[in-house]
Amino acid sequence: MTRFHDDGDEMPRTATLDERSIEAIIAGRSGVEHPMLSAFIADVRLLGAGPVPQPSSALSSIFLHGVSTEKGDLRATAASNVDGPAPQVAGLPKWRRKIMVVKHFIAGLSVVGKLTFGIGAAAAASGGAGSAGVLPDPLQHQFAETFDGIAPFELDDPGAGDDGTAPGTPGNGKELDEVESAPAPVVVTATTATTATAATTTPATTAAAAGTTAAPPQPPTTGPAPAGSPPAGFPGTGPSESTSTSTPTPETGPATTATTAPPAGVTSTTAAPWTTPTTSPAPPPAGSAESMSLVCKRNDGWISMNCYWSPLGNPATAQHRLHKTGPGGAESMTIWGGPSITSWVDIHVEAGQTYTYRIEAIDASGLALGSSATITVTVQPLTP
Amino acid sequence: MSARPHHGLSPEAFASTLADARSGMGAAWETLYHALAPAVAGYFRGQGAREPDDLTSEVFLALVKSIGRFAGDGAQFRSFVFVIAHNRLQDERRKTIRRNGFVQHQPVDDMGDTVGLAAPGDASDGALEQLSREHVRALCDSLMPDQRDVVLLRIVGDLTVEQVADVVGKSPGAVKALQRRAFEQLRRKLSANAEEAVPR
Repeated sequence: MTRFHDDGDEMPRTATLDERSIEAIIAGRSGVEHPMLSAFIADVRLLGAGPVPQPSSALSSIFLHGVSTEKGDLRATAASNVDGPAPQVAGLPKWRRKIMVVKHFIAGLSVVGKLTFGIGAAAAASGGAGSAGVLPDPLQHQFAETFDGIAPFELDDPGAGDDGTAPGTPGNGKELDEVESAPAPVVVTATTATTATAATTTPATTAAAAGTTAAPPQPPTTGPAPAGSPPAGFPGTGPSESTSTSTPTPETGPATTATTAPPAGVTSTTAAPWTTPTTSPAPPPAGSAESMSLVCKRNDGWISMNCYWSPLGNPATAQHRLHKTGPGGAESMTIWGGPSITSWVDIHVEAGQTYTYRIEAIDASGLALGSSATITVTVQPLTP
Repeated sequence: MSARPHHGLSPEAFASTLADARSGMGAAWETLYHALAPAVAGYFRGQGAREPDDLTSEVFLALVKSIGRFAGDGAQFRSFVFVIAHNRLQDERRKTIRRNGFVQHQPVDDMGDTVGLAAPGDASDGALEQLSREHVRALCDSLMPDQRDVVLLRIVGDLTVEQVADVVGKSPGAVKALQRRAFEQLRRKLSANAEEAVPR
């Protein structure tokens, strides 16, 4: 434990730490001149590249049910969002309908993560501000002043008057990829009728009603991690607990849950707005082999589904699209971020429910290039 | 300034996601959460917060409430999020002075003595990750708090000097000075502990 050992391990004296070299280290470009510092910085960086943390129940509720902007305040339950005469689309509850209008996901939190959310973006807010009403001009320094010294939770509620747009109908609809113009999707109807009203923050444990699948819930195969532990872990740490069952579905033949080695960093994923499918979630396009394998497992320690898949290997692959069926019906969503994004955490799952998933590689025009088989997973409840 | 790749989010995608979030759409909030929560949680973790995930959720709840005050692009949004996170952290530090429920900066004179300071909530990862994290935490703890703020915001938060200056309420020049002192301190520590702290 001698701290004062030979100087052989010291950094070269010539490598000074001026601003330029510090920036190079931070940017990961200085591994030769400053090996130890660079390695340390890389480790620090990993702190921010961990899995998506489990949202609190209040936050999950927002994800699920949205925020009522009429009063600029949060509403905790779906009941508050079902006012209004909007017809249900394709048998889906209204909150689902809102979700499916959404379009873009920020894909990209690759393991090395570091996604910087649109650095270099210019004037990006104009659309948002336009749709949301009158907003002050963006000034970075403004919010520094606004928030400096203010505990964030003492902020006034700014919601009132900042928005005339009804939830679910964003003003700038131009970016919508998949909206409810789709023909009625295959809907597993067993529970949808009650979901709109019953969609409180507690899971509607209406049994595994996914009628398209016949997978019975299975008991966990392993004891879950200790309560309170975060999910899976850092890159390379795959989910250690498999609570999924994989069964073939009628239309796709044998399940190919054969877990090909998951790509590195399967735990790092991005957002999850689901849309109604414009293409049927059912069979893969004719001629496309089931050349991808898909694995979905409940994350350790929290109710969410970690899906990861092998890439198709087709250079035309532009994005992936994930198809899902569950008590809420059939949905699909495009996972933006390019062909290198091969994992996703679906937090719209509930314990005890059964879901099917299928991943598809699509080209730039949205045409399916290949697909996995459909796998069926039952979300095991957390056990203390 | 940074050579690192930035993934995925086009300005248009951010703008429309922000618009949806503003209009109350849950899925848009989820998108923003997925994009930024790992970094925010990592920031709290690096700061030694005991419940980094819970704090992250609180930050996003505050964000939901204060989104009407924001207008800007993706980079500015990132700053905005870390302004809230950093203020939340300061809040927590103030509470800690009263309740001692927060892992405070502790001066250390030897790396080996500080291993084990990692927040209990971090304990579920693999042994190697855990070791790495403890190492990181120990070194971060050896920094002065304002140095640590800058280092973590720059690296975990992936913010520029100017953005960090906004978050911590200092001038860019002051941030650069803190950063330089922090890096020199880290280099000294790393050199002194080269035998124990094997770089990978």
